[in-house]
Amino acid sequence: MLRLALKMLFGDTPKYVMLVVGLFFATFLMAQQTAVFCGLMRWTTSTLKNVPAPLWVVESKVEQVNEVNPMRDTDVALVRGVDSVEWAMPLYSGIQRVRLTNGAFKIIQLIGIDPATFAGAPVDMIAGRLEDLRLPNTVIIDDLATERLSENPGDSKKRIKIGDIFEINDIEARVVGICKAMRSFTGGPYVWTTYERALQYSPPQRKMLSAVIAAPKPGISLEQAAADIQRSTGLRAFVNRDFTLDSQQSHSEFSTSTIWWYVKNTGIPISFGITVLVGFIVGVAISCQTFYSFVLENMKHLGALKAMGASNGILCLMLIVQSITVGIIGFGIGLLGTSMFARVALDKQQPPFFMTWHMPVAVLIIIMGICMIAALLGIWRVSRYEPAMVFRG
Amino acid sequence: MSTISTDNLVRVRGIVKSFGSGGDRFTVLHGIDLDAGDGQILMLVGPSGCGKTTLISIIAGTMHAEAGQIMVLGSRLDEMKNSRVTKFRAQNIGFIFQSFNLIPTLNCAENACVPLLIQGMPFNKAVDRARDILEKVGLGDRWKHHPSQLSGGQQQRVAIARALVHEPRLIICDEPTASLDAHNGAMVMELFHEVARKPGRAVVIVTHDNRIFKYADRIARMNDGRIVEVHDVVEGIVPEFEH
Repeated sequence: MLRLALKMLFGDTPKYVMLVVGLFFATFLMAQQTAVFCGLMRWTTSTLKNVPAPLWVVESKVEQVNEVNPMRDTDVALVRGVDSVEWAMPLYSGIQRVRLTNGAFKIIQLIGIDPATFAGAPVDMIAGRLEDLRLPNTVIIDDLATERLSENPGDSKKRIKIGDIFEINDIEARVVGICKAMRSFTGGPYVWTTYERALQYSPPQRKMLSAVIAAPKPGISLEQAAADIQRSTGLRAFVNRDFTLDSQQSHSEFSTSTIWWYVKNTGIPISFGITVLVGFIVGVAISCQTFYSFVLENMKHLGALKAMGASNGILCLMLIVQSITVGIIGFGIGLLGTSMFARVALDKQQPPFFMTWHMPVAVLIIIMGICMIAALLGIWRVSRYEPAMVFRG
Repeated sequence: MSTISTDNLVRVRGIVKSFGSGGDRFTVLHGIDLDAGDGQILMLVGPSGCGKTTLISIIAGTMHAEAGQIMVLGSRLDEMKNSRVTKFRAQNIGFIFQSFNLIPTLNCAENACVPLLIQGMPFNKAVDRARDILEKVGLGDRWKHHPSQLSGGQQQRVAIARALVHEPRLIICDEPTASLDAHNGAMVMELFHEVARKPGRAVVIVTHDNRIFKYADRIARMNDGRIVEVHDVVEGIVPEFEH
């Protein structure tokens, strides 16, 4: 009977296509928009990925990594003075403008690190040597900067390379290395230099230190060290674990704190949430309406089956199989569409895209839920249909 | 006409059925008694609204009676639970509907094998059995055709194949020739008479079509929810009904 159910479904091409298209759109909208949202949220924490350090110490009112409340340089010494701290180094982080040789200005995310230890230096160098950062007026740029800071971003032959020069705040910056880095939320590429040189590149302020990056002594947990720093210095200390969406996180972690800040203080989640909701509504509306109409059109035949001895259980199973079949096909095509979108997005590094295995599973559950709602509508109708009605036309 | 067994496969006594409630309640069947014998074709005739369809619905187990006994193939349908009646229908009753009720997205063999699938037979085996029966009704070479590719008469022949494929002992037909022209109606009834009528089986047909009365072994005329006359048809000679 289940094979019969599928033949009935596939035989009604317009309804079948309509159902699959509805569920495809629902899947695509929900999966793609959720992944873009997660990618965007991940971009907000890119500095934490690109400047790897177990502990971030910031001004006491700071809530997220992109918020810079300058501190005194002496705060580095304060952190170093905490017993549970192994090392602590100054860090500059700020948005600056680069002037290209053709006079154009571009925004960058400037990172200043300690030149002796290179704490906070890029992890994945593509070209050049990290040590060359100790030479005068030198910077290391990320791979995005090779395109963004070139005079003609569309021409792959004219990308920025080692030895090229641009200006930051009228001071020369010579490229000595290129690294891989995660994109920033602001879209500006990352540029590393030494801490002192970063202060020269930036407009002077009374306090210039953006953060102190630190590590706990062996045997002391990150949480313990962070608590000790907060208690001893009055500054705010965050834990910075390797950031993944599926890891166990707490609000003491800087990445989580950053994401929550964006969730609470921007309209981004609402905007994406509405789109995901629209996807769900489209799925429910099209699927339920079309499937119900499919059931109504077949009611005469389902009634005949009922008269011939098909039980309500068999008929319900037939409807569920039909509904789940279109659900799986629609979901499959929707996920295929999402993966094609992902391929382009990841290749071009925009728009942001980040998907864990949880998301397709969640979308599949929602799609199956939609299908079950559609099937239940049909089941409700069929179970109320008296088999004797079939004799009355 | 061949010799008819007197054993009754269908035996109903004192069937009462009403619809509606309160002041709108009206009684459709007033204590019907009726028998259909082994190997017999019984036709229920009468004007529209006289209760024919209600009566075959009750005999077929698709509707409950308010009162009375319904004995079909030795089983009391009125005492069975719904699920048991459903199973009973699947195993013992074949149906032929006025508008054929073939599923348009299935081919002839798939349509004809539906009762076997309901009983749980594997699909391929059921289709093979259906093809055999389609051969008997003259549609062996058209088993892959869909209903829309067949004439009305051919569609009713597929419906006959579907009604016979699981070899039921009772066949219920609701106006089997109403959607057919005279020629196709006669052809269908000839075929039906040939393949459906056999010992151990009873056929109950509701019809308005007096052209097919000659195929009956017994004709019961209904009026206002009552059986008003019952006549045996001998040698194809149809009795004159009182009006």
